[in-house]
Amino acid sequence: NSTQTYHTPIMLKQLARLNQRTATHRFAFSTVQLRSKHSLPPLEYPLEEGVQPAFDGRQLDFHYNKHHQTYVNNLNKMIAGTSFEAMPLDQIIMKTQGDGSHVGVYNNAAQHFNHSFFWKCLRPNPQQNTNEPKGELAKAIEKDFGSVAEFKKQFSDNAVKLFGSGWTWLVLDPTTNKLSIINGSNAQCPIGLKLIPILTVDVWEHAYYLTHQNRRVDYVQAILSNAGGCVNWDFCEENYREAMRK
Amino acid sequence: GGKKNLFFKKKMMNRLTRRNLHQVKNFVTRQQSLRYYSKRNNQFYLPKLDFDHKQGVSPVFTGEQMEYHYEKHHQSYVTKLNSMLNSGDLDKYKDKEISAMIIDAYNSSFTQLYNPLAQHFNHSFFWKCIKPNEGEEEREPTGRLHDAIVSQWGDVETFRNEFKNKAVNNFGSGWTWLVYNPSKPKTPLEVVNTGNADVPTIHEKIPLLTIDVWEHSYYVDYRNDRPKFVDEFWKIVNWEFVEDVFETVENSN
Repeated sequence: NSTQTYHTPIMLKQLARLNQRTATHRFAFSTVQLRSKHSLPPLEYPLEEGVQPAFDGRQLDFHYNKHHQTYVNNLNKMIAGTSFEAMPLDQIIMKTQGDGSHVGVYNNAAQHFNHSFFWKCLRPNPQQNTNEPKGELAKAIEKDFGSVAEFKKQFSDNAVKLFGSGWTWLVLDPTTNKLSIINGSNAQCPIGLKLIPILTVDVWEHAYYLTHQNRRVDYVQAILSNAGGCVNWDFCEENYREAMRK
Repeated sequence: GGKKNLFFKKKMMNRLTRRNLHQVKNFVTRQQSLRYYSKRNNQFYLPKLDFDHKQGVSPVFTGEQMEYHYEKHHQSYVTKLNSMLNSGDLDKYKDKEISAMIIDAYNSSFTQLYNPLAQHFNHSFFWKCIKPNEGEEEREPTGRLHDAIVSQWGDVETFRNEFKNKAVNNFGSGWTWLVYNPSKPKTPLEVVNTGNADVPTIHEKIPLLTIDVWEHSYYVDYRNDRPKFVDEFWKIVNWEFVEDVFETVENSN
């Protein structure tokens, strides 16, 4: 069973951190909630303040309580009474990746994961303090992109040129241990492609329209900027360290 | 024998496809009202609207929504096209019609041209499909189009339900269309979804009516509530334009 051999510790830990259901597994820390439904993970910052300077509370309220909530509701409805019902989220995604007959399940499961991951990638920075990658992740970024500045430029360029709806990701390929930036259209989730997510930015228009309207580049800049951006680099660093631990 | 039948069948299909493409290619030039490229100046431009967009499109879109959509989103596609034109990137299309350019760009995977060009067409077409409404009531199709809809769906409400269902379930960015399928002259009307910039003409279907379901189309006024937006949309459909296109296509078929 290919999904089981891919069930790496990073996925379980990520899911546990995202407050999602995880499968029974030989790892001691995993939790089992086979009968409970998927649910919105709690945010680690106050909703009404948004995530400054990227977007305000009103934007976050719609994004979290309407868009993300709808994916969760739809997912629960669609999987009720099916074999997907007892599966952990990552397994649903991997099983339905590229499966034309389960597009609805994939879309909602992947969007649930993508959004849960995204909330963790953010940390409000209303003071606009310096905010940069650090530690092993910073070193790996320098190795694989030349410099942090070059990485940010490439990430931003990718995010802006993504046509339509989708997500821009910093991922680690576990077969090469190299970092790369990928665009995924619509709900495309890297774990379905056996890549490990490190950082993501949602570039569906609903992610930024109330705050930035059509100016996607301003929104991405507000997230990534060294001087006052709001990436939670600690979370990204953790993702990277977990991924590198064999 | 089998081979002869296959040859004949292929010949028939080629003729049909050529005729469809011919219709499709003529479709835009016939729509004199859909001017959005000036051969005289050799520039693309935002089409002039039949209403003042700054006043919105009552009662469905506010002025703010329309300003962003027309002056920012649609404009950005026009700007992009002109920059490609002025850089010489479009020289090989010098004498081609827009609809032929779209199909060629699609078939040759010239995405850099296809996306803005198709979006320029889609938006220009969309602005023709809507018209402000002083009242609050939903507008109805009339004439031969009304009869064709009733003939295929039983009643207009059932057609609207299929259209709404498809529009609401069009995942991501895209458009929902009422199209004319020239290869089915007895039941030509279809409701189809396209994603991102895709135009039905690439599938040899002729656009009659469209709704933009990219989030930028409705987010200012409806936020996430696409179903409500689609319900409201019927109040501003410019059925005169849609009927005109339908009758033009039918007459030439």
